[in-house]
Amino acid sequence: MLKALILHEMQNLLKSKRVYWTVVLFLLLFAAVFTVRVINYQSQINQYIADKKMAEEELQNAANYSHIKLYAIQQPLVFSIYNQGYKASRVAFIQFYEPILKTISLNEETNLYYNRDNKLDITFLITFFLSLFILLISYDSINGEKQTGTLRIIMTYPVKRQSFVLKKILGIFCFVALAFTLPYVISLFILIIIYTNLLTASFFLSAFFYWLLILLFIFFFSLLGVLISISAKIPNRSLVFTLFIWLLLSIILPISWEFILSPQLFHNELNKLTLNYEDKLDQSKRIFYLNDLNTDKYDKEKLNINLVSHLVWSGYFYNSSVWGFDETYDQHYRFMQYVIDEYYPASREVEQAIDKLYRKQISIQNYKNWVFFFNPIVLFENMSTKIAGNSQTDYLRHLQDARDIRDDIVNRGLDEGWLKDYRYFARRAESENLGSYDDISKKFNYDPEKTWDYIMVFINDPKVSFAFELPDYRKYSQPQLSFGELFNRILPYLLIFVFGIITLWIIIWRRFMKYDVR
Amino acid sequence: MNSILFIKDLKLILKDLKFQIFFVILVILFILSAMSSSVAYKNLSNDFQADYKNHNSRVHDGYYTQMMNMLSDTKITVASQASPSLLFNNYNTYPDKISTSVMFYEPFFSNYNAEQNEVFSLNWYFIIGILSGFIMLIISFEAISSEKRFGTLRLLSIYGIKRQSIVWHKYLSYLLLYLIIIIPPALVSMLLFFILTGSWSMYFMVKFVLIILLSIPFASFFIILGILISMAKNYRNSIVLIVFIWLLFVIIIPQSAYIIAKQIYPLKTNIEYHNMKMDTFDKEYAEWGEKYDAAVYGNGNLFDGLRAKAVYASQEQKNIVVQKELEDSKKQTKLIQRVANLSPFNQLDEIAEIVFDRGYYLLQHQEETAKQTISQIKNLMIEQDSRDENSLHLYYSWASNDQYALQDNIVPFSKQLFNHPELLFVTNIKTDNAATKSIYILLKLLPIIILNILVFAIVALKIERLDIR
Repeated sequence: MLKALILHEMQNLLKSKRVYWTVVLFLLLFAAVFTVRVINYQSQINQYIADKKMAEEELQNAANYSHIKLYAIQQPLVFSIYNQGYKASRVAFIQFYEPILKTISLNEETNLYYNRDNKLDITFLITFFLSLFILLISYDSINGEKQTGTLRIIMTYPVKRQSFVLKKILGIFCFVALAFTLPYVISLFILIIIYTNLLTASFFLSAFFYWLLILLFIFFFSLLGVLISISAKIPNRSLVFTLFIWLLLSIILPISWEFILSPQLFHNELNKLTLNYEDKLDQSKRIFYLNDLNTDKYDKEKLNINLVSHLVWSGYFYNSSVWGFDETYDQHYRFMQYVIDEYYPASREVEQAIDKLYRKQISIQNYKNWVFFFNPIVLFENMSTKIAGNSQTDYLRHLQDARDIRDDIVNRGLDEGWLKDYRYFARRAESENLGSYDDISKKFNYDPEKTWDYIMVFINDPKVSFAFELPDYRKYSQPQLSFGELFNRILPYLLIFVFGIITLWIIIWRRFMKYDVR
Repeated sequence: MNSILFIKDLKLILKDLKFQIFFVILVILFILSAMSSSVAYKNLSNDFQADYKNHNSRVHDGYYTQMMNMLSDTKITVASQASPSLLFNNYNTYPDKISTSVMFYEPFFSNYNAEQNEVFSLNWYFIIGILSGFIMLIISFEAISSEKRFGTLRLLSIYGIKRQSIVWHKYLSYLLLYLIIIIPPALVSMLLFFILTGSWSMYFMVKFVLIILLSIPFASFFIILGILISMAKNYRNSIVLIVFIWLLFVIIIPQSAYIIAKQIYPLKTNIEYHNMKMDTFDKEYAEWGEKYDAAVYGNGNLFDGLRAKAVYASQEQKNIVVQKELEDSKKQTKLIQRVANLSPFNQLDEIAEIVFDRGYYLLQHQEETAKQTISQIKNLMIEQDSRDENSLHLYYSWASNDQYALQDNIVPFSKQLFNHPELLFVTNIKTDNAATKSIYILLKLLPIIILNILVFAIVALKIERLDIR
């Protein structure tokens, strides 16, 4: 019986020209947004490949440990086509002891004048357009029938009120769910065909959860539309209510949070955390540049960073010759020891400080969910980012991955000893002692040209150089989320969502029982 | 008779629930926007003050204003202070701070505004521009169809009232309505903003009134569009059309502008630009090396400043690439604007940029100011340096690095403190005068006025052929 009623309702909906146009528009928008996002994703993938290639080449060309440039590169998620999530560059640049605080963009295009990012994605389409379309389909579902008089006729038939309203709600829900599921499934198929190699299990998990959330979202708005239609006497009036409620939920409430509530509530706290971070950063820099040197413990002359920097930072061997090799190696040893003992802990504190700031931002986002527990748009937005695996939490994890790689390498360098001794930047075979610049000059009767020709061989030809072994490390990470993790991430918000739906259902039930059908 | 029609129309709308609800929304939003803008204003001016204080302390330290250090280390800043124009728009689409070295115009752009995650922001632009367009469409989309439905249109035509005058009076009454729902809450919002921030300014009050007046052609466009839609056969279908038109103007056109511009004028990647700069630098330096042999490498001939000159010449070549990069970005930005300007909302925003001296309009003048300031500083530095006997007068960025290899108190460039440290942080940015601005504004208004006339003509033609039965 119910099946027949729902089918009947869906057929009815299809006959309406308004509904027809709404669906056509939605499908067009879906296709447009999807195409745009795929083009965007393809360019991201191209950038990722270029980044990876560059990182590999730099590693290949490295002739010693000081030349190793490591990058932790995050592969762009295929699911970001549906949900862009937290936007950040993908490449984390790893240096031996520097703090890793943010990611950088290498092979990306950056418009210098124009800051604004594109925000169109399927999630935006759903929260902004689909919500409106459901309301536009359902705003006159009950009172429209009342106006045309059909409601009275139906009530004279042996149809229960409960089953009538259930039929209305389910009819709208099934209709919209179908109208969404169809293009969604087609888009998934297209992605499976184009990006077969890039798809992982976590993509399908995200896609499944996303679909479930959207069904809940559609159900909520179908209920809301029917409720409005019961509450207002005539369709014209319910249209106004509909638009008002839609404006409130999709625009006014979120922006009043972003621009009034959140700055009022959290600005001071965020400011404090930012200042703390900047302080720590400043402090660590002062330690690195020997501004706050403990003179009882260290001799400033013996830690002359300039001597070391000629070798380490410029990457050119001959600069060091001003002071001779042996002196530079000694300087390097002393400075590295200082860095490990003093600067390393300070840079860790900087990392912790920025993590604290990020975590606060994440908790503010979660807080928003609790404040707007009644707003499915806010809930859906937040949950979809959580299941897509590109939330700020995932970004933090990416940073942490990069830090793990760095710690791994530093520890290895300390264990094997190359971090502090000549091997760090040596460009010669271990067996052969090049000696100081004076020694080499003496060999060539102080002819600078011949001396340099000799030295340059070691600079230009890595094969002659000191052979070093590339440490293995995790390079290109992509977050993989398990079913349990995904579920845990959204569980509390999902419960609120379901609670909201049940509440709406009860209200409709009770109101329609007393509804005046005349 | 005509005035009766007009007053009747107005009364009808004022009684309408639609209007009342939207009016309440507008009042609430106007008040909220004053509150949110005052928060933003305070945060922004704090940021600016902190930056300025930081600059002052560096000037006080003396390192940054010592002329030889200025050659390589000092950056000049051109920034704009927080102003009440924030009430109209946050303007965080474009950077509002430029730092560049004294030697070359190599700008680093940044924003005092924190990045916001929302598509919309709560300010007058959102209310007057985006929302009121929607409201005018919603209010006017039933203008003719409801009269037709209730049969009053037939009645009016029996009285001998011209159809066009019916439309005309409806239009006028809606326009008046726009002013009624916008002006009082806007004035309240403006006063509230000034009270909350304590930044009373007659100058900006006039600007706020001006921008409300300038928004009239835009509201008029949506009203007349609504009337046109209301002549459709089925009024319930037209609601979908209205929503779609609004979404097209608000979201689809502005959001796709960037994507389209990116496809038409793609930029090179960051790495490519970087490599291009480095290659040009190296090439020029190698040429100098060939010309002057080893004198350019190592310490070179310090008293001729050969090494410094070579580095400077190479940097000059590199700067050509920098300028090209800027030019590419500018080209893309202009295309983005051109596409986005298909939406009337963006046109209004551009006019507001000129009125309030903000956004891209200001950025262009900031760049101009930065370039002028650099050349001004250069002249002043060279002039001041020429009076220093110990100086070798090498006004080159690398010269400061040569100081360690020189002896006998001789320095490549004067070590005196620069006499005009106030030039290093410029906040006074000269924009066009009022006459030029008004010409610009009129030019920018032209498209929307033409659109108005066009839609009006279509409405006038259509109403004559309308079947009013």
